[in-house]
Amino acid sequence: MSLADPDPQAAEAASPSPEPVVAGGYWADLRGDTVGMIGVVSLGLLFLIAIFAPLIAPYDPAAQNIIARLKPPVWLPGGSWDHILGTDHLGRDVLSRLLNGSRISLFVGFATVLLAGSFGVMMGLISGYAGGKTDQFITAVTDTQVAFPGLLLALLILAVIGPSTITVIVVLALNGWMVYARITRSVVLGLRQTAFVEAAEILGCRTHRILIRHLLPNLAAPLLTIGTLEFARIVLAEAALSFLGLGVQPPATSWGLDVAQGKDYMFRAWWLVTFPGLAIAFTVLAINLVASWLRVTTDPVEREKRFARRAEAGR
Amino acid sequence: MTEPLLRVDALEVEFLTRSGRVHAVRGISFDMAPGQALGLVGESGCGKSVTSQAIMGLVQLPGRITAGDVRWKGKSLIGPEADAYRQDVCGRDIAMVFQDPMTSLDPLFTVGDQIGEVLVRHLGLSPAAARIRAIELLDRVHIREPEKRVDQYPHEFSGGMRQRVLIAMALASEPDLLIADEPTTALDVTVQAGILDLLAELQRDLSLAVLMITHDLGVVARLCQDVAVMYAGEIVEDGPAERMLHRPAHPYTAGLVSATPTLALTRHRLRTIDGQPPDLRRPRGPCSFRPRCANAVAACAEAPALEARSEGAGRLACYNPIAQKANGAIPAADAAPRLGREEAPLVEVRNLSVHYPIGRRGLFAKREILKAVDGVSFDIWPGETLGLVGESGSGKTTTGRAILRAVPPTAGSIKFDGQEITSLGREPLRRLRRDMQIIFQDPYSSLNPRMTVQDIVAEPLIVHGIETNPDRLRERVARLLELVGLPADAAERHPHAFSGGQRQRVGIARALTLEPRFIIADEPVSALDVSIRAQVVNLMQDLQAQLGLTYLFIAHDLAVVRHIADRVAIMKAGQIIEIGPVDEVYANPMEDYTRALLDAVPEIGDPPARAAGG
Repeated sequence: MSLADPDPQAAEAASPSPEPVVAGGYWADLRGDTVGMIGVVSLGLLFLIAIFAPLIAPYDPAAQNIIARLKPPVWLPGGSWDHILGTDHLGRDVLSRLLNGSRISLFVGFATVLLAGSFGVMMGLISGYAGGKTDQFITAVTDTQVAFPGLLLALLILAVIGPSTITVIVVLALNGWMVYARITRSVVLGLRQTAFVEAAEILGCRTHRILIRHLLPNLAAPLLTIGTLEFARIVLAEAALSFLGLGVQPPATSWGLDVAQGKDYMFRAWWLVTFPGLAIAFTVLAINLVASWLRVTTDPVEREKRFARRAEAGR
Repeated sequence: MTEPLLRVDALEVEFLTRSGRVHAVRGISFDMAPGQALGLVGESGCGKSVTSQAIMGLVQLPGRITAGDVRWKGKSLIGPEADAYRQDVCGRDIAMVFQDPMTSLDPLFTVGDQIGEVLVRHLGLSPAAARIRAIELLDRVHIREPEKRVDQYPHEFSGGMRQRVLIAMALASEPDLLIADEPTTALDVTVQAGILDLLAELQRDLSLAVLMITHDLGVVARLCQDVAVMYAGEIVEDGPAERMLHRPAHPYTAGLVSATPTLALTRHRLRTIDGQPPDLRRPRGPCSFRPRCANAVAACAEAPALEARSEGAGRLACYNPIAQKANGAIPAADAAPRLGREEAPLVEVRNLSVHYPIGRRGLFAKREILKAVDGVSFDIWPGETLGLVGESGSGKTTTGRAILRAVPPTAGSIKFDGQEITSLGREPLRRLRRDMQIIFQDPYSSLNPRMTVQDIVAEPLIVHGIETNPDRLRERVARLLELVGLPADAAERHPHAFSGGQRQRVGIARALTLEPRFIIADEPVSALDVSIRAQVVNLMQDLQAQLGLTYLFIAHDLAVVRHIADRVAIMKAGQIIEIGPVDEVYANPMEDYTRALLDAVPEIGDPPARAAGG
């Protein structure tokens, strides 16, 4: 048989309907959304700060100056422009520590989401697509892990291996992959029934191709949202671990560590716990704003509704 | 003339979307008299459902009513000042029945409670009185043993029974107008016939006005005295059903009528309406049907107004209407049956069974088994089309999947080109897939939304390692797209940029990529509009003639099967009860069930039920 000569009768079909004139991409959408914009700009600013921290910071965050210890911020009596946010009990500059601390906090968050996400998504893909015994096994492991107290596991591992930035990331990832696995599994269970996945199977696609080419791209939207929310949770979890002394170890700095070290001076020098605490709160807030914007933007129905609401309000 | 029951006056509805303003309903006007059955007919996206939502006050953002009025017994239902009146009328005087009986009932309450709620709220009945009335209503819609059924939950009812319950709910408030939005589209053909008869009976006995919203002209012919045809948000023609269906004047109405397959004729090309419906984002300008119209004249550059016909009842919006009765079909060039019986069959199926365990009742009870396919045997010869027809749950789709080995057969043998395929391992099966392909029912879910058409159509070549050179792949995809009648620039786009009919063409192109000999078409046109359906059926016939394809055409629609198949097999409860050449089976069915199926098909020739009932 030949596919060479086209059938004139079949050519009767008209040209396709015009490509939808999508009013710009994500960027245009973001410009119309003040709250989402605030989130994205704040988060971008935080990342810039984290990247350029050593250049911006006025002092070495680890440099001690016992003479100038526990200096208050500049606007309080006794404060000076030398140390805008004051100094801690060892005379280290709070602003410099704050700027440098963002590096570890954001890095741990990012790396953990990446690690937990890849592992969890892989487990969820296999579990949802394979079904049967494999699915039962992975689901059982996930459930057990969820039921196990995360802090206890973290304490155990960190006590045995010893705390460091890398171990903190691994421990947090171990405690966080289940969310991705569960979400991925439930979405895959739905997608597995759709005709395009069945079509791929009948065409003769091998399993890995179906998982990577057909299933994974359709998971992007829910995973993006979950990942963003998890990022916020990880920043808090790292702070908590560091506060307990099991996270980042001095001389490295992180916001959680600063809060932990400042707690003994809470009543004499409130700024030691307040500024890192505010930094954590600000980061988590920014991330949540981005996540809620993303959730709507990646859902076509919600996106249209939001557009119509705005258009109606703008009339 | 007195004030009509319902007057829709220059109604306009638009949707605000990110891709622009969609003018879904563009100034439509019509009246309904008490007891009238009006069919509002059109293809998907023509605005018929939006019109019904506007009447019921159900238009929500992103949609909104921008102009016009809906008046109920002379008082407006539109706008904030009409809120109280609308809440009074909608749901009580105007009731609605929706398309999907599976999701329109709350699974957590008994049907008696759900009907009772309407009675208590709208008529102020006591719960005890509501129960008695609910039983009466269930009896009214011909549900047997209503005293027992009233305390059952929706999952204990079949699809058709649920639709009857929904109609009973709609009748509970003793409405004057019943809006039925595609009430039978999700139902099997024999069940559909029962529901249509019920609606006709209610309309007659309760002098209930019925606004029937449907895409199916056969349904309209069975129920409605009057028909209004919508196209691109406007009514293009309306009038008495008899005239509209047999002497349509507007080219679009005529096109719809002739594109609707009938049981009467066999193996011929369906007349099609070429092209696609217009983009509703464009404002009104020239006649919206002009690009697809064979009768277009210079005057069509300006949209014609919907005006009373020069002779006879009804209105028409066309400068150059069709004068004579439309011819239903063009005889095919090769009307002769192509049964090359000298050759060996391409597919031989013997005693094929597919059973599913469906759990057990009680710990020690025997495992119950669902016999989806139960001992089916048939042959398909090279170059022929076997139609496999059955209602939902008959096992027709499972049979197709078992032949493809997409579901494992429990017993029996399947031979493809003389080779037994039920025992093939993974790799030989992959090679076999090059000879057997499938076209899916739903052109929306069967294409991966994240892939371009190029990637979708080229994928079979890549996964089978036939062609990996990107340039040659592009060339082959371009040839395939041309073959199925898609423009060359289609390759770079994603499926969402195409209409349903065009997506189905992409699906056909994908099935053809590996140059298979045998294609299983699983309800390939049932998700498509009438005019597009005809285009795709014709394309499949042309490709068969050109490429020597063999089809197994699975469908629930007997009329479409009649057009494309050489032989037809009727399936019921997992078994083939009748098989034979199309002409014989249709003209002289041996089984009662086949005859019942044929009788239930709503056809344009059917007289309106009211006339039949006196």
